[in-house]
Amino acid sequence: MKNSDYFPVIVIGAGHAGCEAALASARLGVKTLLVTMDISTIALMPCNPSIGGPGKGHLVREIGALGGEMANCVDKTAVQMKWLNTSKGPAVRSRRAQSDKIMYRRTMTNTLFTQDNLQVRQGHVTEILISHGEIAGIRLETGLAFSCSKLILTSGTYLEATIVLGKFKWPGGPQNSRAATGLSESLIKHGVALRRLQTATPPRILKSSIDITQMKELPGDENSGGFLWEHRTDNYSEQIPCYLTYTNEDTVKAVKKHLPDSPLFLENITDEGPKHCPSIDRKIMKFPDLITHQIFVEPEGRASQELYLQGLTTGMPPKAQEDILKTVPGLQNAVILRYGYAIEYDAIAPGQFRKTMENRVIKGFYTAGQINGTSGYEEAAAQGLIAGINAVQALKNCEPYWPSRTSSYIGVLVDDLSLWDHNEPYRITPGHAEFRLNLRDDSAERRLSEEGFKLGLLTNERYKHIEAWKQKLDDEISKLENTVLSPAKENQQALLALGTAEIKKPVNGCDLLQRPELNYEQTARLLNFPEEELLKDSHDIFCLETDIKYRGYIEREKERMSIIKLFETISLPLALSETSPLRKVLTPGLLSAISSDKFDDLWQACKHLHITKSEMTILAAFFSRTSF
Amino acid sequence: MRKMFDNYSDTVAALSTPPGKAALGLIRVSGPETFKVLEKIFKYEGKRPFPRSFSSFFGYIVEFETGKKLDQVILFTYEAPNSYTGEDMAEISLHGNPTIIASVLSELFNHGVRQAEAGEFTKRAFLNGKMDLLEVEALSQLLNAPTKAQASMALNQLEGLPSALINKLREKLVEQLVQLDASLNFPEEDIESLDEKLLAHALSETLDELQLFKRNSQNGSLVSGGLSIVLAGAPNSGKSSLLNALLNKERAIVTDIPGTTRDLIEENFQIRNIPVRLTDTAGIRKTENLVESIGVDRAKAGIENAFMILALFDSSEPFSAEDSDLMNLLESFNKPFLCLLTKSDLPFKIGEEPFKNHKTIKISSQTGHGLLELKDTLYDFLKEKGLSELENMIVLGAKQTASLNKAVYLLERLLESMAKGIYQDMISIDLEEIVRELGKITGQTVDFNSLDLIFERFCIGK
Ligand SMILES: Cc1cc2nc3c(=O)[nH]c(=O)nc-3n(C[C@H](O)[C@H](O)[C@H](O)COP(=O)(O)OP(=O)(O)OC[C@H]3O[C@@H](n4cnc5c(N)ncnc54)[C@H](O)[C@@H]3O)c2cc1C
Ligand SMILES: Nc1nc2c(ncn2[C@@H]2O[C@H](COP(=O)(O)OP(=O)(O)OP(=O)(O)O)[C@@H](O)[C@H]2O)c(=O)[nH]1
Ligand SMILES: [Mg+2]
Repeated sequence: MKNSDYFPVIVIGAGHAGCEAALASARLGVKTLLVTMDISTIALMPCNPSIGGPGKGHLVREIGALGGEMANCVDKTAVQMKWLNTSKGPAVRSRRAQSDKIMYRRTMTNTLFTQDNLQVRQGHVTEILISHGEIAGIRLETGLAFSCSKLILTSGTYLEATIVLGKFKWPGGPQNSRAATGLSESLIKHGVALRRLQTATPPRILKSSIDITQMKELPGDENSGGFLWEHRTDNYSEQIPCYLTYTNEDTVKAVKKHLPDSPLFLENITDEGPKHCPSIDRKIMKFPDLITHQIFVEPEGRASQELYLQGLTTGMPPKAQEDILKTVPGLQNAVILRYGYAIEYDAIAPGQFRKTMENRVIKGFYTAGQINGTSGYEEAAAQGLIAGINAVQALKNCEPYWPSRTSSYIGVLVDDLSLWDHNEPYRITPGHAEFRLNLRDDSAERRLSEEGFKLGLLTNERYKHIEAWKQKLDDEISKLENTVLSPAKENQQALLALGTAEIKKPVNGCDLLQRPELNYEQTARLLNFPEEELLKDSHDIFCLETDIKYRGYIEREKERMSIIKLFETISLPLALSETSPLRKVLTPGLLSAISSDKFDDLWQACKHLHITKSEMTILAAFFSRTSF
Repeated sequence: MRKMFDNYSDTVAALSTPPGKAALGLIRVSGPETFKVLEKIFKYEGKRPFPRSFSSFFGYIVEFETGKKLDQVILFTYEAPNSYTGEDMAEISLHGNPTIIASVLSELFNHGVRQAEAGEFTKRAFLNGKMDLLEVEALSQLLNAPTKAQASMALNQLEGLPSALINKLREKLVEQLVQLDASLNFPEEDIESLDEKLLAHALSETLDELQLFKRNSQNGSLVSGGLSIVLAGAPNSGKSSLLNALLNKERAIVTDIPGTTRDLIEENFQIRNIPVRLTDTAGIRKTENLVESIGVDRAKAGIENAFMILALFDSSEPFSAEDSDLMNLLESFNKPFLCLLTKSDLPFKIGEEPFKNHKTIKISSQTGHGLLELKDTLYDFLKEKGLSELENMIVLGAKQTASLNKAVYLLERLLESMAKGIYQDMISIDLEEIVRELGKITGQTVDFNSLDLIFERFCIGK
């Protein structure tokens, strides 16, 4: 092989995982090749035109804080931005963007093409090359081969993909692309276990054929700001609204009439689909008495004439889709441009990859994105970023990197995923994150930017700005902490006037601000902060208030968090000496778990074996000493 | 219920009657190899096939090598999952001779069966979904229950009433939590968002029920240990005589020499249905005698740990300096006590004056005078404290009590913060923790090793 055919890191697939992986690798200074089946579908969104929401939006914020690209690209191309869950608390509050699919693709494609160290190539990879149990390269269907030290596979829903529409079935990928054939066989040959998963997408309709007077208009928020820290206070003018309509009895009747033609009924597709976005046929089968289901009508882009119908996902045949649409207010005359369909594809079997996204069987081989059993653009991008970072860390003989689950959704995602063993794709939600009060949207930079900078993904310039901002807030917080309000008579009157209780002893500003009924400005004035020194920016004030109001909780969880963090750093398997005192302390189950290759770290083993908190405390005492 | 990591692939055996007590012994065997091993060492006459399910067989345990009969036994077999542990199981009923028992056990161990750890059968039963944690807890109480009443209380527990209550409360909260989390995680779905007023209402109802549960469990733990009632008084005031009279047997030595009783003498007793522990103590006085002075110290400690005190005063003697010391001591303790003026069959010399602030009962251990009144008074007193309703009482282990207390505390705190106004993301976290703690009480989300601690309290085998 020619020298020019060697790339230290190769990425297969330019979906959301692949783009992040390739960019991370190239940005960390490694010559990287990105091979994808069709250059004109780089960063394609084959399903809904939206990014964000609780959990997912947190991931996008974290990707931005850690030095990934998705946050930037969404911000630049969104046609609508809005906050969700604002009344339910800062920890579950999250942005959601309506993305311009066309512009998103273009923008990401440009970013890839202008990135130093990165080469993009169109090609269909059909084989992985292995030498001495380690990854060595790839071969394309054209016969071309490239060698590499690390390979990241992000094939999404393409591997041996089958499109299913009613009783019809044919090989093919999303949006009428080809299926990736051959590669699965090569993977199996080298010991990688696969499984089948499925998902589906709704029909797209012509914008001019709907009647918006029969629907509810859903506008965005102008001053929602963007996902990337730099865009946090940006204004989004000229947003495009979405529309909301509902199914009714006729819709349910239409679905029921066509149920015999549903792939679910025909059983010509695997049942392992996402339970969090069921098709309309599945909804009606499961909840036959429920009549009204929401249908969101979403623009596919600013210049696009297509609308996406969230809530009407289905793999039922064309006639069924038409009959169903006719029943929905505002969609009676809708012209279908593309029919919905279901797709079945190969994914990596559970338990096959580590938190670093590296495969347990083949060294130097990483997988990320939908192929790992997730669904969603954000989950894919987050994994791509982690895979890209780790391919480079391994290449440079540096420590593997993953963020802790105590400090990020990305950490929760990689931890959960490496042990995920369910018959359905994984989707992130705040419910997965037990420390979600710590993993807030507003604190992403506090939690991750330093790590991103140390890894080399944040430029000096960017990090300096973020640091200066953090410092400004920290200074204000210490000022509050160090300023005390005395229980003098005039202070008590001021407190009562603000509708809050008197104080019994001197109280500092942070403690005052922890009272739900007091805000920053009131507190600062109570403490007589000079007017010209007060924080003015509403986003800064929000971050400061939230930080302080959630402190009590984080204090409560500190011990548990620090134990988990410690255990996450103890990689398994451990080779215990015959005389190790641990042999006497640990239960047989835990002993065998920590010497097996099943778990990445001690925390995973403890979680899996349901080790109690008090036992973990004993273990922590053991492991915090240096030798074991 | 949760299936464990493949921990129990092995077969275990243990003697399940406490050693040295019974004329018959019972050896339990449980695990997948049970029948295979017994086929080798259990011999019987007749042509019936080897028993597998719910049958009893008369035969011999033999030494496998030599064929020598070790003992004549009755074998009961139970096939999984229809057994106590949920595994294949056998019970060997044999003679209580320790040497025979040891030889049968060692024959089992020769065939790869392992000695069961303390409580392991019950643990296996629990892990195989055969009983919940409250039932396990009750079983441990039953095995240690000193009086009939306590045993019946423990039996109440086995019927699963309290665990049903806790599960009901927990499920109610789970319902709320699911509703809340759904709306937090999927704000765009058509999910009714949480009605905080309704939640607060449900929470305070739950809190009320939990607090009642907590009181019942506090009473339960008081009563299950036997309420400690201490007899205190000057030497020769008649404490030991009263103990004997109440128990209706010569338990304590009675002499006319002051300072006869020198250590605590404890006996189980029932006041109607309420189990108590009566403790006779050394008469309290200043003494030069070392043994007696240790006794006096113990008596004082006994008084300190008592639930209530019966203070005895010899009414046939004038009110003495020692009587007055005792009175001062009792008044300083802030514990309920009842003054008994003893030896009422003799002339009354002590006078009413010293007792004008206290309730007194005149009794005679010799004639039995006043003993009925004493029991009635005690019963009324305990009843007033809510300790007579045994059927409501609940006995929890230390860990469960801790979880219960924590759940109550968390609920109180959550209600308080909700009244002040907190965000739903915080409510969700708190609610989750409460549900987790309630689950721990009945063992639903209990962790493997906390189970270990509970099972350690069992005697071998069950
Ligand atoms: C029909 C459908 C419905 C969906 N529904 C939902 C939904 O309801 N909710 C949701 O959250 N998500 C849904 N998604 C999933 C969402 O599209 C994916 O989660 C996301 O795109 C995954 O990103 P990825 O980077 O892992 O893979 P993809 O975006 O699929 O990208 C894979 C890339 O790899 C390339 N590739 C694959 N194999 C090869 C090969 N052998 N050689 C070279 N290149 C290769 C492809 O050309 C493509 O560019 C749906 C997807 C489809 C197709
Ligand atoms: N006439 C009469 N004598 C009693 C009665 N109760 C106890 N006595 C006598 O009082 C003496 C002391 O009784 P004990 O029961 O030993 O007294 P005590 O309080 O246990 O004494 P110490 O153990 O020495 O502290 C004995 O001689 C008893 O027979 C009673 O009801 N009537
Ligand atoms: Mg005595």
